[in-house]
Amino acid sequence: MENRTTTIVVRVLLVAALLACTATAAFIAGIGVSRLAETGETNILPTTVSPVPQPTAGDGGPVYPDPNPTPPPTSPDEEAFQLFWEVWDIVQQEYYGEVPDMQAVTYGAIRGMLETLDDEYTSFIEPEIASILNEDASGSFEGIGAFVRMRDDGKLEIVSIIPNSPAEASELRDNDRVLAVDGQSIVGLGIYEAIAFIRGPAGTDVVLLIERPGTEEHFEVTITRARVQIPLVEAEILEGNIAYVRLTEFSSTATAQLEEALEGLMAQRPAGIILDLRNNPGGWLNEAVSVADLFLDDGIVLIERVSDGREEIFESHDGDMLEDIPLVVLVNGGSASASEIVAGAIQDRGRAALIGEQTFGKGSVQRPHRLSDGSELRVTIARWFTPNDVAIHGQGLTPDIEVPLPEELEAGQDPQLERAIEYLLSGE
Amino acid sequence: MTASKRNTAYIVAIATALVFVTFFTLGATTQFILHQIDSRQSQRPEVFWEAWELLEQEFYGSIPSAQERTYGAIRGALAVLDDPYTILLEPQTGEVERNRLTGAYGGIGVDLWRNSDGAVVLSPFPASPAETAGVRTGDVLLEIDGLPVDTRTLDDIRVQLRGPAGSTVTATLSRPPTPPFQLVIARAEILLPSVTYRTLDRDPAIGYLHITTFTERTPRETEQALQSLLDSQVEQLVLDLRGNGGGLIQPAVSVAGLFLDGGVVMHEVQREGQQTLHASDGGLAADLPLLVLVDRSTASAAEIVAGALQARQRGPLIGQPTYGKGSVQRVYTLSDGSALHVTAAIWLLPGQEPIADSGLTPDIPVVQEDTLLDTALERAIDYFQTGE
Repeated sequence: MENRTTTIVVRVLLVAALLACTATAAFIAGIGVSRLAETGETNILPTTVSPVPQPTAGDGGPVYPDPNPTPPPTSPDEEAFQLFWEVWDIVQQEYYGEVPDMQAVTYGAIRGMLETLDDEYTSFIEPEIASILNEDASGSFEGIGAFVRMRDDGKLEIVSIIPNSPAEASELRDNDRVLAVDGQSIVGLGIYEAIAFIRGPAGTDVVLLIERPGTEEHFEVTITRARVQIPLVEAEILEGNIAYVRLTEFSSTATAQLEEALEGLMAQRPAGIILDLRNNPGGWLNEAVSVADLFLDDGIVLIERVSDGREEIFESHDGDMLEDIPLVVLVNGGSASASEIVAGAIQDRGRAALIGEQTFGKGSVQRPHRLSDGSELRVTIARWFTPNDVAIHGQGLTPDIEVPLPEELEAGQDPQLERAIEYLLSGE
Repeated sequence: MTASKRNTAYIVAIATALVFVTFFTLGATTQFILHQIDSRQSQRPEVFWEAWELLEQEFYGSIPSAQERTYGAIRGALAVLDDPYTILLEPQTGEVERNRLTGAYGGIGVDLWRNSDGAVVLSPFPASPAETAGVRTGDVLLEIDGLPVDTRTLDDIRVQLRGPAGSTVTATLSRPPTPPFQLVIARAEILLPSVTYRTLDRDPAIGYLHITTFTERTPRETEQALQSLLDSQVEQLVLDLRGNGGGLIQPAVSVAGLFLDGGVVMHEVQREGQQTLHASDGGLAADLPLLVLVDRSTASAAEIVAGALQARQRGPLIGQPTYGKGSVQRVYTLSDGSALHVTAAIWLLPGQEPIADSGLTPDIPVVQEDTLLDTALERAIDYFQTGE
């Protein structure tokens, strides 16, 4: 009996051992076969794609062990770029200190490459910042509705609160400092990182830990996020029944918001209009064209030329309510890009006088590209010229009536606006 | 074979087959997933190529060559390390850099200093254009190309004397009792000695040894200079490391060894571990009373020497706090002739502590006074003569 039990135990053990061996062998074989399949694949790809002969090895200089040999270059560009890997292999092996992850290195390499173009407007924007900027450029975003800035002490400060926003309905006030979002400290973060924490889908709640100057205790404020329109337009009727409209940016909703405001102003039959483009840094090209069109009849707004000389002409058309009303455009050194397109067309076409100071002088056009990881590349693709074919890049527009600001300006004083009103009332 | 035995055999066979298939699939899947993760990582630079191609297609204006853009990308990637010493020197700069490390320039080949009267004294290098043209050690320089030198700094004068090989410079010299005379000297490629030395006018028993940089030739040049000073019976030595921005590490360790009798010079810490560099036994000047002159631009390899001599209590440091560079770079020549400097280690003083960011603190602080005399050197002589 005992002997038989032993035999069974031995048999079971044998079978188990056999199965274990089989399992291990199968596992290894699986890995092996799969890897073979991959190597075959990667070997095939470059040779079918590459029309370029293998590069000769560099002569001279010491030879270094290559921990991860790079595949043979597949284009002249990649061949030139081999030097990058030569450098980076050495850094990975030798550098004393932490080697940053490949993403940071890639972004650094892109920025370094862009530096060589010597064009400050061709720029690279990381995914997190790109998504915030794009949301802003669309004219609205999902969040609480406050303008913020990053203080030197690393605390995020509420600069102003957007009317009709969730922030306005909450206890939040100007000058409050946001220390934490949903229990997570944001002190010391970059401004876009901090903003990314506060923004989120409409309808969700966010809890902000607030420090208020003059109030000892920090306190929490809960705000339900919503879609918030970024106000781009300020409009009012000034003394002498002059309509005043200020546009702060050319985001996607610029024309629509401006039109709506102007309709309200026109209902009061003003004697003239002041369009204030001071400190407006620009925005979308098509918004610039449609804003210019509001004030202009048939004709050229701008001429765009790409590198090889091909040009595209953007035009305005008859039939807007503001084509005849007396107009003045206020500009200054902060009026750039799309602002200069509008002001330049209005000046060249003799539609109205520019009053204020020399404009910024940005006569190039960028096209934004979303890259595969969500980052954005803005490439300068063209130069634009005013209807009279004048280049303003690096020059700016000279106002018809220059009104410099005095060194010390009293609060509430605006000599440029006063001159504009005087011009509309007196005609000179 | 009984039926039950056959059944058992079938079961075992089927079980084996099942296990094989299962684990084979498992193995293949694991490898597949690992490969996916791997290739996702290696694909990250794809964003770079997307940007590269978009620029080639769309950029308004002329686009720099692929090589220039590559240099830009390398500079940008290295900038992420946030280490001012890990840098790429492009071929042209790399060439100048190598010349500096091998120590060559266009000039007439003289050492110069001011004596206690403020006069600029010359000493030609052996077989240099200056010596061939007739300059002798002790000649006083009055004018360069007709312009008096008396109010100019020594650095200015050195720059005036340098120029492309083949060009000429006219020097007006005084060698009393001979009346002042002019010599036209053709400049040539000068192998810049990294070491100059002399006995001091104020006290010929004090030797003065100035090391300007640490090249491969420096240990040998220092040894020869020391031997020559010892032969002229100097009893004390001022080692001047001011303005010495460093150079190669190994020569620095050897030079420090000339003033020590064995023992630790420094420790080098790399990613893989630590290495201690020792002085050889019985250095040539191991017993010579020593003072070391340092200033703000005493850096890197020069700080290793000054730091070792200070830590080993070989002699006090006189002057200004040093630069404070505690990292070690390796220099690689790349396939296109550029030079890549990579911070590959940090170094520690003999007592295992790193050099402070504020540099080495001199035992006797001295600020250069508003005079053409060398305040720190004068202070060093005072120290030897008075013992404090």
